[in-house]
Amino acid sequence: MLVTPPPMLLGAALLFWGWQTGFLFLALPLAILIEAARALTWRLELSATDFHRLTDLCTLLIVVSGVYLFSTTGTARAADGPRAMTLLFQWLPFLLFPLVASQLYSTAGKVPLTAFFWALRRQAARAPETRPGQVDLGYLYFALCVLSASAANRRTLEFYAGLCVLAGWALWPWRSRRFSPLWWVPMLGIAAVAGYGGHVVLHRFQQVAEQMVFDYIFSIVRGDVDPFRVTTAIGHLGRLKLSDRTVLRVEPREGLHLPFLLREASYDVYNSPAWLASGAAFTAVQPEADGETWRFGTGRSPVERVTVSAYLNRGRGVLTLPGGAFEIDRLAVVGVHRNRLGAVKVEEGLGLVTYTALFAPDGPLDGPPIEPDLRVPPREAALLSRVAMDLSLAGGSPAEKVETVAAYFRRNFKYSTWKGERPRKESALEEFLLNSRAGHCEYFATATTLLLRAAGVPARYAVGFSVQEWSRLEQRYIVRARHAHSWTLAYVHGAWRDVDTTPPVWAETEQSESSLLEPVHDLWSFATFLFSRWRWSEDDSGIGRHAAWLLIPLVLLLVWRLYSRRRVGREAAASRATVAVARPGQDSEFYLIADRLRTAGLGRQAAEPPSEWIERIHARELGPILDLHYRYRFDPAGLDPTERSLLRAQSEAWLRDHAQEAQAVGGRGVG
Amino acid sequence: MSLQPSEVFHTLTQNVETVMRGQSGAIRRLLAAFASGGHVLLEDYPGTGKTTLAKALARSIGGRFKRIQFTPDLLPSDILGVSVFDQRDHAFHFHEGPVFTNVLLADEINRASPRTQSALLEAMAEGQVSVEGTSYRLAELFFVIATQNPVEFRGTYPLPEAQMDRFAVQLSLGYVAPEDEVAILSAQAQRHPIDTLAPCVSIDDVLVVRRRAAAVRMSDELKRYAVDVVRATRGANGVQLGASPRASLALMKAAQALALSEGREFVIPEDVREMAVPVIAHRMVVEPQARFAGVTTAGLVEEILAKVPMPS
Amino acid sequence: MKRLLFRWFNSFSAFQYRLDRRCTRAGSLALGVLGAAVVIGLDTNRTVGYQVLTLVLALVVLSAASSLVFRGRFAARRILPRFASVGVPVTYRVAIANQTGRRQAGLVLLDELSDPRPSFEEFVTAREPGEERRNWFDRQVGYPRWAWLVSQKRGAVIPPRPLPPLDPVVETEVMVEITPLRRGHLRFKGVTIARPDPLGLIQALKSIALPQSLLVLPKRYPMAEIRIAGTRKYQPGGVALASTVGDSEEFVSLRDYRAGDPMRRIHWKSFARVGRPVVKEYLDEFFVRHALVLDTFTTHLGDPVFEEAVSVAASIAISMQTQESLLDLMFVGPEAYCFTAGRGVAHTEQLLEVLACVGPCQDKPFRSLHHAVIDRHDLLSGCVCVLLAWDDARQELVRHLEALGTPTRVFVVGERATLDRLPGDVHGLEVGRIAEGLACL
Repeated sequence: MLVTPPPMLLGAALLFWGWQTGFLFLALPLAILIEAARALTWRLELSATDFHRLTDLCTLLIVVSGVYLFSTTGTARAADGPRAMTLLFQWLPFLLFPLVASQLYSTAGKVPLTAFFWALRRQAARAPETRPGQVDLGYLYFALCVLSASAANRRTLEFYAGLCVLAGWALWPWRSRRFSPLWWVPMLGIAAVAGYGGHVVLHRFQQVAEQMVFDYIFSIVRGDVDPFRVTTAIGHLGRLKLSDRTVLRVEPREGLHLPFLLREASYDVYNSPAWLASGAAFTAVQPEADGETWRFGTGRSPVERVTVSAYLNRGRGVLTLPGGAFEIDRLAVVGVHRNRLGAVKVEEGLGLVTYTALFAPDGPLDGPPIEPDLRVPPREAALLSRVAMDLSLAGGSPAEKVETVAAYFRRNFKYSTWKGERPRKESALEEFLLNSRAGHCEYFATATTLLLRAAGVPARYAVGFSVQEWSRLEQRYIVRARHAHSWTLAYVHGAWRDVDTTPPVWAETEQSESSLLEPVHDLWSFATFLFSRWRWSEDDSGIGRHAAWLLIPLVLLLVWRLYSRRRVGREAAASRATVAVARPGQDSEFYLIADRLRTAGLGRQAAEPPSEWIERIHARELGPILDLHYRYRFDPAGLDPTERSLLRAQSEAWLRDHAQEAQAVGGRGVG
Repeated sequence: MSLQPSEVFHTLTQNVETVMRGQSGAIRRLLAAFASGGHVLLEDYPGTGKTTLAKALARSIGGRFKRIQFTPDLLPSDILGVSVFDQRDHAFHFHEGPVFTNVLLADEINRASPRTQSALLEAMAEGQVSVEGTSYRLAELFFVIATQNPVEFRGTYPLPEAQMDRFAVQLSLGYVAPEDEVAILSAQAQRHPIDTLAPCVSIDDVLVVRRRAAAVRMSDELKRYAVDVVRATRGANGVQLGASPRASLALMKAAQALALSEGREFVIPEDVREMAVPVIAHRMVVEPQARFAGVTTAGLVEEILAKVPMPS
Repeated sequence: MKRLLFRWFNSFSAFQYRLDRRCTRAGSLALGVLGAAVVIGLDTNRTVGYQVLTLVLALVVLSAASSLVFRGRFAARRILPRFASVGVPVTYRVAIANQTGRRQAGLVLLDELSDPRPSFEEFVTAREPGEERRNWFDRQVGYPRWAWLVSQKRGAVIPPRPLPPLDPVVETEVMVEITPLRRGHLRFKGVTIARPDPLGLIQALKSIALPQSLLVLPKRYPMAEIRIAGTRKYQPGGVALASTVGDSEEFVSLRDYRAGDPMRRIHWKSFARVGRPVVKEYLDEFFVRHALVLDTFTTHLGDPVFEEAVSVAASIAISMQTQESLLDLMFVGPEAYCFTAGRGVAHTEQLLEVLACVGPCQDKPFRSLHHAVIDRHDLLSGCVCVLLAWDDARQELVRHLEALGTPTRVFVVGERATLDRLPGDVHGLEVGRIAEGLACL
């Protein structure tokens, strides 16, 4: 049973792989190295331990390459660029080459199975006298080269043609000797044609199927999904506040006033208990020439900057920006959209983005207020007008109204953490304003916004985070989930201002409820952040490439160790010295008769005595000829001349008689 | 009456076959061993006709026939003979044992103790018996057929390996085909055919045949072939003791006798092949481990015959 | 639940077996490549692996289609040796007669053994060695146990054998070499002639039923001869065991002739000297008789400790072979057995045949073996015990034997944990290291 591939097949497969993946310069020397094993006679003596080490080395190479590829393909912007897995698969023939080459150059010629399975290694260690199974990697490596060439995704007919040629070449030695090649070649041709038709159909089928699935899903989901914060409800932030997770990181710079508010989105329509953004369709923002700067407004000096690091789930999300942001620098995403209420959503970014926002310190640059910014929802209208009248908010400038409202809340209301209560639709606000006079920031912000609207000041509800905490571990400001905050935007003096009426103690109050394991979580979060930053980093000065260079001395060391083993030559075939024994009678004409019968398919089998043989083929007339032949051959007295000529004559007579018959005879007996 | 050797063989075969049906191959080889001057060991199940065969052969040549039933308490003197003290003339007289005969049937030779076995085997080898300092020669035509029962194990002493060499050939008869067994029943319905068997050749004829068999020509090539086969047994896998040069000699003689039985004056390779297993197999000893793996001496010899190229 | 798993394993094994028979080596590789191509080429946009998939699928389907019909008539005959041993390769011949009129070339011989799948009871009650080390999932589902049971019951692995061209009418003999893996009867089911298709991937099969069995003797380890400090006492035995009449030949003394003595017993020289007949007197011979006691009391089916104990017993039986001693093999199966052997190697073969078929005893207590051995103790001059554990019942037996004055050698076969607390004169043999343990005796 053939187990080793025919000559040149592995070399051809490697060249095919190199051609398809673009590594032809690499594949050529490898192919020469593999095929040279047939020509060279020296071999290395490799024990099972050597094969174990080689397999471990190849595994290590694969793991390192995998890590390297995962880290670098993150920068690929194109959506249909090769994924790390595919690239790794393309590299596999090269990474596994040491193992295959050492099998070809070893004396054993096969790799023990213990090299691949830990369980077998342990078993062999326990029972050393059992010989483990061995495997020849030739054909497996061939299959790997072909499949890996397919991963290169060269969608040309040459790939299929090369595939058919290689498949035919690989199958040729396995063909059944029973059938002539006239059967084999057409079968291969039919299979090639059928395969071609099959794959065209398969590709088309996938395209159709994908389109159908996409249409189906799209018909279910309308509009954007909620990660883009179309709505928020009272309690949403409350839930967020229960977690200590570090969500954002802000780089330190002097002049940064704390607490500093970073806004995610703002809303203008209240429908208890939810706030909605009305008419807030997103429009695309075009990047500047360098592809990393996004401008959506004219700047106003003085300009201030803040640098924020945030995680994007699958590369999409909403950016948290300072209020007056008009430009974002160094943002590594593909698409940026903005709506009129100031929410900025990004798509196709990295998993971790670090961006610098340029902003004007005096407030958001959103568009001027429109009618919904003054609308008080009917359900709460009566309550709010009553409170407004109590506070005598009718007169005064907008700034004074804002101050009055702020003072009102400061004096009379307390902060309480969200307990998980669900706000009742009808009287959430009434409960807060009249009865409990305590709540968390969402209540404060909602009440403030509506109250200001009732007083005639355009106001919006803003949701975001508050930067307050300095982390000694990381040496920067960290923003946790419990720093999520909501406040009011009031339009005063021609600009939107942040109005935060939540009692400032809210941060400490929330912190007092943090868990004891917070430092451990922080440490883990910091480590993850560092790893993510390294992984998604764009500059090529990462350590990924350097790690590859470290492997080269390791490989050289292993090669030196292998080479320094004893080189064992292949056993030379022992030449047998044949003792010359006289063999008289070799020129007997009986041999011609035997040859004639063999070509007719009736030859004598190896160990069959000639007398039995002529019995079997029903050729009794050869009996006397056989007797004479025997005497000629084995009788030391030999034949006298008359008998010798008799033998010749009878043999020739038989040959003449049976010349035509012997040719025509297929499997029938003679005579 | 001087017959051609092939006629002698033919007549003997026919005569014996009237009594032994369906055993032509074994009879042929037995006669070849007989003509070559060696002794025969028959290993077979009880009741297959070993005694009948020996008796038939003895009667066909008109010679004397003696049968010894070996038992564990058999003494060497029971085989060779004993010097008996005669009170009348106060002298010792030698009473010959059964070994002084032409055809001797030693039944169940593996039942006797090794001392008794070796007494017989030495007599076979030497051709004479020494008792109390005096040597008595055996008959010129002295042929021993020893039998063994392969099934019986209790209380048996297997022949030592060195002694197995003394037998030129080991044969087995086996059970006959059903038609032949039916014929046996018919033939022995009233009485045993052996009782009416008459001699067909004389002892002198047999001696002439023996001399002619020794004169049959064998080419060097065939001698080399025989030696190659025997030598191959010494290095074969699983063999503890291979065949000795005595085996090569015995093989040559047996092949010569077989060629003579077919009327040829020269040996052909088929003769060597046919006699190889009977001559060589019983002289070899297989290692116990190999034996427990199912290796038999006959199988080994057949493998060697298939491997060593036969001259053609 | 277990029954459901059992049925699933059953059908899966059957499917695997049928697939294995149908595919050549190239066919198996093609199926493997097919599987890999399915994984790689699943997304037809990312790689061109789907082209490999369709090509290989077309090849396989075409091969399968062309191996549906196989018109051939064959007869087969298998010539097996008398027995074989575990772990030792044995060669046997298969003679195939081509009954079609034409010469057939390129065929492959597949010799088939009987079904190695366990029954439901065996699956539930068997315990794989080292099963405690497996994780909980494996133990509950039981697939490793199933695989181990199948490998235990599969007596040997017979690789496919390509046949030389078969001439019509004539019988062609081929040699097949196998290595038996376990003791007992290796049962053959039949012979299958396979014809690969032109591409060489799938085979068409023609089966011939040919049931036969081969006895496989247990594995034996080399060991030095055991000396038991026993004396040759006057135990009846010896030559009188043979079913023949007569005394032995140990000539001891002379006595006067009495009427009725056979003539051959007369010592003639004394007769000449003394003047009246004098007769030789003989003495019965006695033999040393040892017992080999095999402990068969284990609750696990297919227990490897039991198999090793049988191997140890076989090794001891071989090492104790002498021409002049007897060996009694005693064990308890369905009843208490005692099998005597000695006097030549032929007996040892039968002893090994008995050991090849001995099975564990699960329903009787150890006392039954104890009683059987003690009943026979006055015939014995020494005893060798091969035990599976060293608990109270077994210690009781050894103590009893020694109290009766029968010198005993004890071997305990087991895992390392059970061999910790053995007294000095008891030899512990660890499963997996038996050869070393026996070599350093």
